[in-house]
Amino acid sequence: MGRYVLRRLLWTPLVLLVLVTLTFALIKAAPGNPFAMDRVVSEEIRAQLEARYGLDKPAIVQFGQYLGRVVTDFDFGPSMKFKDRTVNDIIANGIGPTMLLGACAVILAVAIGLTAGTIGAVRQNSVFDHASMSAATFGMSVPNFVTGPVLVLVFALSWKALPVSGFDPSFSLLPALGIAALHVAWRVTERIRVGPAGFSWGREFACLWLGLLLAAVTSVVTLLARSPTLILPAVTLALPFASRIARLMRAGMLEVIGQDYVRTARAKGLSETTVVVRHALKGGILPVVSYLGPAITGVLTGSLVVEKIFAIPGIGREFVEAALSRDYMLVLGIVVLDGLLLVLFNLAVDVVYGFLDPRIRYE
Amino acid sequence: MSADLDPPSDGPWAQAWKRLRRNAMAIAGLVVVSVMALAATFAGTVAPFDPRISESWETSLPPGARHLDLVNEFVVTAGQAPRERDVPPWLHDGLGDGHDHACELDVVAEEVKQLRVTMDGAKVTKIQGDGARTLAKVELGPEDHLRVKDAGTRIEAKALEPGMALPEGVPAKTGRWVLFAEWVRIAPDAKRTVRVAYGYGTVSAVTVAGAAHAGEMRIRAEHVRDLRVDGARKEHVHVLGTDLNGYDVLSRIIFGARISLLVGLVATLVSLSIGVLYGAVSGYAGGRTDVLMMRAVDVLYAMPYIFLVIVLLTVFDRNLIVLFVALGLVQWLTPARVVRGQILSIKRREFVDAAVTLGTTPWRILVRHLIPNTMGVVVVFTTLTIPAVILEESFLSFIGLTVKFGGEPIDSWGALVDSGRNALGVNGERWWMLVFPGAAMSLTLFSMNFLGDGLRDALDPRQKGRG
Repeated sequence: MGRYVLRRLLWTPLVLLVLVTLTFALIKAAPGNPFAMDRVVSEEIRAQLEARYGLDKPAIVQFGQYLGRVVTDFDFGPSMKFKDRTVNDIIANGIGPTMLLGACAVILAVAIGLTAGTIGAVRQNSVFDHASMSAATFGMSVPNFVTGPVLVLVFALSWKALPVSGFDPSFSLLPALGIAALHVAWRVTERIRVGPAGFSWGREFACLWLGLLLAAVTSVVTLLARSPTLILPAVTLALPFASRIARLMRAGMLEVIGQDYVRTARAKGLSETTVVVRHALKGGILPVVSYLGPAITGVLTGSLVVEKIFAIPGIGREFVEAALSRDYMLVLGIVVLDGLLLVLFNLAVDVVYGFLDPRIRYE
Repeated sequence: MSADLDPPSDGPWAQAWKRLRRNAMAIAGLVVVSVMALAATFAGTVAPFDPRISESWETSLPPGARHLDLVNEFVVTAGQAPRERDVPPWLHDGLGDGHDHACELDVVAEEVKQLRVTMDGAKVTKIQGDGARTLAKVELGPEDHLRVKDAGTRIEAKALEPGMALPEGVPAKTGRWVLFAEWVRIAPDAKRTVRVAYGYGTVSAVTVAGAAHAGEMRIRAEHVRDLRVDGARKEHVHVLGTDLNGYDVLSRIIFGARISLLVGLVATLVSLSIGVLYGAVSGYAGGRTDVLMMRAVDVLYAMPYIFLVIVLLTVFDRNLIVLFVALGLVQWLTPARVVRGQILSIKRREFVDAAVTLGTTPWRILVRHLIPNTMGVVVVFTTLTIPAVILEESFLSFIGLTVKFGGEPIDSWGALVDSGRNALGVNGERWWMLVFPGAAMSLTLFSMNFLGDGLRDALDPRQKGRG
């Protein structure tokens, strides 16, 4: 396990290097001048501009310098369109909203998906099962740039129950709530036993897991209740992932429920709730965990659309605007940052998966 | 693949087809996809209107709106052939077939009152009617409107009174100035019937209320209340309404399907060709080559792909070829991995050993024996990749990276959804411009996903129920 993580960590810089090189090469291959403006710029001014952005040097030197700055100082250089802002400034301003929105969406999606999927599997072929699975299939097929505007149309424009767009999250209650939820989770998980085989995946771990999920869900629900501007974007972003997670969870649970150890648990006379929460859940959740990596990629991609629809000042919107106005430095910076986030999240998901599924042996 | 064309002993494809036919949802998906594909192929015939022709006075019509088949203003002159560009289609289509035709238009007259509006900057200070009489207020009824006298443009206002701000449609000026406007009222009582008779390529007679009308006659579309050609009412029906620019929404969806499906198909073919070949070579070569090729795939897998596609489209001109390449490059990784896995298991089989023993070249084994055996996977990936690509292309159009073809921006479904979103209005009153393109796209993706899942179950029953 340790060696696997180490190898993956060593792999990460290579992936990022390929990403930076690819993007940089693409940008350098761009025809035309990045300062091509409507008005004609004199030779001197152009030379000064090129010197400021280092464009007067050969491409390979530019690449080396850029890489050096990014690696040593985490400095993505100046923006080409906003003369007084650096890429770091823009990213620093935008990362908060994007992360907040993404976290809300992932937590909502996991909470809704797990609940619907579990109930669907336990009550297989019930009305709830059919309804939730049809809804999930539909939710997976409708793209978020359709759901977003349609939700706006229904809830904001026609019904006027929610704001159309904007971003003003209100955190005031959150810290207290987070601490309280963590305290509950801590109390619940006090009795963790470390068995002879190390960390045992039993009742306690299920409690810890449920406690954390509960804490996360309560925080998100409170946040959404206090900042209505976040509701529609978070729901829009969460919907396809909730659908996918519900289907995966249902399929995973159905597979687990048919297995011998669940039958044994039932045969012991345990209540259905105990069987599901303590025995079946830990196996059934595995497909969902392995889906979290792609889901996070999807959330980052989806935020491009959702931030545009709801006018949220995140890096997704900055990226789209930078791409449309050909602000190459900003585009490059955001691609590299998102690449880094994706690689790290995927690594984290794989490590968690390794913990959860003892059958997995990373060679 | 009909049953009587297949050999009596059902081959794997016939069996798969049998299994697919039992899956009602997949068949429904197949039907929807086929209908969409046919409509897209024959868009020119199927679409009720040409999506490039806007009828500027038919903007924002709700779904099902009927509209008389007219052009904005047209001229008929007794004894002359009408020019195609200034008459409605029914007037030139019927000409020249050697028969006599008659059309009747119920036309109402306009009453025009001259207004002299004194403005101070953007504010109305004084309104004068006929004979310089000062008016306290001009209230406009449902049949009334105002227009700028010289320019002929409409002024959007419900009423006009001193002290109010400049209404929409009036150019802003500074200082004191005078706006010459017309108060136009359509007089419902003054309805007249204009009869246009035509035959042998020319308008033979124009009669107004029984009396012959000599010379040319200008007819404005807004004055026509009813129109009959040879006794039949001539009207447009915009089943799904029109958009802000007067384009028919249904026709735009059908022509948009053409772009979206074409992009989906071509990019999928590009990606699958690359993926299958790459995976097959990697799997068959094995050893160090295989490890190296699959490591490369692993690295590329970790990339934030859609971001790279956006960079690619930003950097190069946003033309269709760049889009095909960009989307094709995104989608080849998964087929490459899966085909490699398949090849790894197939290449151990006896028929491959037999081919090797016979001295067949590796390339030929790959193309003749191995790749054909992965076709089941390829078919499944095709049906599942097409919707993914359509989704990506629409996503790009939606965020503003509309692809151009021959210098013209292409209206794919994503672009339609985006323009529909922008057209909603403060209360969502123009919902149809968003809802119908979105529904068309969702339905197509939905059907394609069902068809793909059904095909996967049919071609590989062991996989059933996964994911």
